[in-house]
Amino acid sequence: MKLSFFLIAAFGLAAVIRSNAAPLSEAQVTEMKNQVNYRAESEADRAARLGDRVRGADVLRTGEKSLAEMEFEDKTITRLGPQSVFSFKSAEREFQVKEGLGLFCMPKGSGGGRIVTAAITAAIEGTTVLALAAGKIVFLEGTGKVFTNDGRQQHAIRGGEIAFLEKGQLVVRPIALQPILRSRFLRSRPRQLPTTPLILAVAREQENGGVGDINDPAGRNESLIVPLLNREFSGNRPPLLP
Amino acid sequence: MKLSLCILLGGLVMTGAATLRAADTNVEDASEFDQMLTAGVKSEPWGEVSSDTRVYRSTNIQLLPDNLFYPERADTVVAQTFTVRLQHHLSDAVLAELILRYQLYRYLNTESLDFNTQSATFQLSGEIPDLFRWYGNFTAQRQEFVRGRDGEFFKMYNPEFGIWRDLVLNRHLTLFGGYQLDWRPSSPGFFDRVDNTLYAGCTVALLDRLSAQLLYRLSLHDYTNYRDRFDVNQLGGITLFYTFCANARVELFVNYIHNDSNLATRDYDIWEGGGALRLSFNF
Repeated sequence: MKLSFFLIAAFGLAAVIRSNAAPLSEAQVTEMKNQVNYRAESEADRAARLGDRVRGADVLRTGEKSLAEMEFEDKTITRLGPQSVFSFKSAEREFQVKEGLGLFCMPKGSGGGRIVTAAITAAIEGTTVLALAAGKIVFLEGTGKVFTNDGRQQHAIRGGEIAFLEKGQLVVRPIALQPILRSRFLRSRPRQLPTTPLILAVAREQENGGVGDINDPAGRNESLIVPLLNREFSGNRPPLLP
Repeated sequence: MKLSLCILLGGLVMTGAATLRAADTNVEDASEFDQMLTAGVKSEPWGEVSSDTRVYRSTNIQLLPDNLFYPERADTVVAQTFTVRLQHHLSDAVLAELILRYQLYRYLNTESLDFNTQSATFQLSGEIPDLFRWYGNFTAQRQEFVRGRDGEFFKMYNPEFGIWRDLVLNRHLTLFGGYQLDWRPSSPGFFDRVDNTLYAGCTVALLDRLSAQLLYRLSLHDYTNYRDRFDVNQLGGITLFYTFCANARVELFVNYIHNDSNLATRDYDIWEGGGALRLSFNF
């Protein structure tokens, strides 16, 4: 009886926490380079300005060699690359990368969200994700889930992995982060992402072996921890005596 | 003259600003990123072969309490491990591995104790996202003397289960901790034991390729078939890792082990210190 009560209470609490995910009401444009256009709902395109507030159904569009960065009220940071088109659905907390590429840095406890590309969707919270509109999603750090847009296939994913469709199958593969981190899109921005230390930790683990390492997919950090755990350091001799 | 200088300086400033602006805004577009990602995707390897060579000094190679009847003996140990590991994802969440190990233990002075170990492990492992990672395995192991004795002297079968997780605090510091349960039926039977192990530690990135790891391990050894023997075994260790690449690494380590048994003759202390070279190849 007590157990049932606790289970019901736990599920109830989880439901309350889940339902507390506030809608994404608006984002403020915090950085712009070159040509960035903003189109408010039912208005014509105009040049975007720093401080513009992008709301649901508004569209932000970047031109060639341009980028834009926005920050939502829940501190989610969205950076758009060149020739990209972005909008979002407020109530569903859904980010849509319709063209180009986007970087999303969503803090933990914000209520989560979804990133939608042409082929696949990622469910995220407390993660940093790079999404190509054509249908590739890279988790730079954190964990999440990816789905095909028809919802028929899904896959867990974590930092240092990429999801894409291959011959109709949703696949998740390890990917080397260092080349991505060296890109101009990620580095050399005036403002550092708050999750940069976590991203660098994943990249370092990839290089050093261990968590996130393709050669240690169990993520058991075997080469670093296990020698002290399992090898008979306290028994480097034949067990002659019990 | 002054006018020329101003024009020249102005030109330099303008050129510099233009260069800066071009570099600042010339970010990769989606197609360039697509190429970068395609090049960076790695296919999952079938497995790995590796070699781990350790040379270290141990103050107490026979785990003795260092009294009149059981004096400690120090020696230099060379431990060479060859490992072949095959892996296959059974599902998104579960990885299966077959691990074969061949180990050689050689003593510099106490050659009569030189022995080899062979083991085979089948392991399943996975992750409960945001909670912990788990592993369960079964190992069969045998040990045999190299010289002067009658070959095989020890066998064990070891079902093992563990959970652990790590916590990245910042780019320099990662904490980790876990629990492991081992059941080790052995031959001879008086080695049978059940181990409950808790451990915690941290990895500190000192430089780009240099890391330090601190580990504390508390292990309770319940010998189920020998005079109610029960040991509390504690280990503290620090290891420095220098990584040349994902497939080559050197280590320096110092460990202290303290074993407190309810049988006085099974108390012991050990200091160990030495170096290691680990090489691996993925296929």
